[in-house]
Amino acid sequence: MLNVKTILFCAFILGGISQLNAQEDTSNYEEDYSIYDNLDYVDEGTKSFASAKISGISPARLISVGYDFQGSYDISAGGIGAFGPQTARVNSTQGLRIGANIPVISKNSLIVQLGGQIWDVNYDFNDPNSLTHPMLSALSNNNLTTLGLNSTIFKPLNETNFILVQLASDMNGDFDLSNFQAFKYNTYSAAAIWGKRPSDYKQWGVGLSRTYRAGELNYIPIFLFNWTSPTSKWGTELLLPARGHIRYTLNRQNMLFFGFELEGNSYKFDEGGISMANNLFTPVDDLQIRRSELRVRFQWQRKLIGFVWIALEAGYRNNYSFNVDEVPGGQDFYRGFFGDQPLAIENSLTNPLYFNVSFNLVSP
Amino acid sequence: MILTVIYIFTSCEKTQNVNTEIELELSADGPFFQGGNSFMVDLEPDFSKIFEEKTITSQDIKKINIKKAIVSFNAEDSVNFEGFTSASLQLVSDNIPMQSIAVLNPITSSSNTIELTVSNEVDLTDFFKQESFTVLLDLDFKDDDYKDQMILTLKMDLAIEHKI
Amino acid sequence: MNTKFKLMKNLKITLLFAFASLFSFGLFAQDEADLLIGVWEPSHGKAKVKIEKIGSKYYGKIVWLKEPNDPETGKPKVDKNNTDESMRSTPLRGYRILKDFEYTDKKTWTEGTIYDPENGSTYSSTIKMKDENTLDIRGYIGVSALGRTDVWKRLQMPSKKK
Repeated sequence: MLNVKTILFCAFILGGISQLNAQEDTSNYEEDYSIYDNLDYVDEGTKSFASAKISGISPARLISVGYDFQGSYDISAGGIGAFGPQTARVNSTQGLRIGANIPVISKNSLIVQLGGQIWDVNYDFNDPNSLTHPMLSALSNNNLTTLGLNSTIFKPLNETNFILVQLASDMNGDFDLSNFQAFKYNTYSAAAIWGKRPSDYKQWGVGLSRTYRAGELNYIPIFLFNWTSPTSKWGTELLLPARGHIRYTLNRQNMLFFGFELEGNSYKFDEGGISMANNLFTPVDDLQIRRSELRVRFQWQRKLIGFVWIALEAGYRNNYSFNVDEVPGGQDFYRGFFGDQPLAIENSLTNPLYFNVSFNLVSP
Repeated sequence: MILTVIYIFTSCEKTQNVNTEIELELSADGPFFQGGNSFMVDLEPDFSKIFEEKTITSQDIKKINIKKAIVSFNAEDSVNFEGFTSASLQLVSDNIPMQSIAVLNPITSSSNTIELTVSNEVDLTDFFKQESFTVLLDLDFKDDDYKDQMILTLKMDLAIEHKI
Repeated sequence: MNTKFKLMKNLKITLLFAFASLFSFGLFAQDEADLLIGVWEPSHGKAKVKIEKIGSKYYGKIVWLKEPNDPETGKPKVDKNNTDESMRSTPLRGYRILKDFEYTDKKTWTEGTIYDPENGSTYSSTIKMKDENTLDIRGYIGVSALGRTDVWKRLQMPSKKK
């Protein structure tokens, strides 16, 4: 005669066996695709959010290692204090560019990226021994280096609208990595855009920025417009006035671009071996090169293997500014279009061709 | 020095190419509704049936490519491919990632046989080194079909490179 | 003698129930693993994906597309960005974009991949079930930190709505 414990045990096991039979392969049955036209969410109130990207846009770079090279040009440095003007030939300006942009939060409702960059600009003068101008000597003896940190926040408000905010701080100067310059000379940039993503093929926005792309501190409006044609062959990637490109897609792993980028920042420089202490009316620590260049270029981006892409760039480097300002104690000022603060040194550069190659780990 | 020696050894390894045909019966239970339906069969690779020399095992296999995939209904079933829009062939295993190996889209044939376009890149070696794996054929039906069961024959021509 | 008999009997019963418990815990884990099965919608709303089980692993195939036809050709969308040219005619409807997911524990499925037909790229992927009707699907390159999480919501037939 069965006792209660035995009955319970058998019920337990039999129940388990029936469960096991229920967990079978679920794929081998018929499919009627028409039933999927009208499905509801199980939960109420599901919210969709605008994506940060549009269809067909070039892939975002997580890690980038590249090299930049400008051909020969002349640099004419204006006089300062007891130092007269001097024109010198630069054989090339070149250096390594390393950057990273890592998504620390990456989900539908919020993307936060933290990034950094190290750029090195090496000035190879044709006859460095002939340099008598302190700025030229500084450029010849030391590289110009940029160390930067940035953060980008993409916050979609709903399916269509979004806010994009970017903050950056850069240390720019002729220091080396073993001997940083004081943080008080850092430049601070920011941008805020309110935008719309009306479809998978279009995204636009307007905003304001605090920027050093023109070399000195500026506050300017900005305009974002990313678009892909219905055939996915053509597109635009614009963030004006900083950069703008027309894109032609050969296939999703191979793209061509034509456009421009305005690059710039404000660089502190040292004496560079020529003592200016007795010959200037201003401390050399207060001088900053307002470096800005407009690069018009062709670019080819291609997938190499996996998520590693190569980007090749060739174009024309048009100097926008290489003047020097007095920035006492690193406390910058806003000249804008109507300011009359005098320049410390007025410089001009002729314009060469330039080339850039980079290897990039791109993002999903 | 040692690395160089190893490289010379492996580069001198002799291999042989063999073409073989595998025939399988795939089935699915109905009723079948308009849209995708999956036909499956489990395959246990048996190299003794492929090679005359019984000493060749899965460890001797260097590469397996698919050269041809032909799917057909039995003539006596009176079914042809007019009622189907596409076919996609995949291999599934518990131990290695699923792999798509052949496709035909669109299906324009009104006969009871179709030949799929095979992948030129995929290597099936890892599947054939398993004790068993599943061959999965997804067929897209134009309309509902209320048969209880449907059976297809799949013939695969394979090119096998193996060590001698 | 009676005491020894009772002890042996109790030991047998204890062992039997221990075995039954282990068995049922295994089944409970299986129940949790199969929670993934169903129809889900990614956040972009452009597709619906049905997750099913083949063998011991989980796969998700596209069963609905918001834009089923390619605007360039006017025909049903195919996998035109696949790096394997010979497979570019594979229809997207029915395409398994989630592959090879294995249940680990705590409502997490790993060792899978997610395929993006927009660019022909396959990413490593893990799925975490936030609740029974919400999935966090993370696609990444190499390490999880270099990736993006998308939230998928479960769908149901209108007649079953509460």
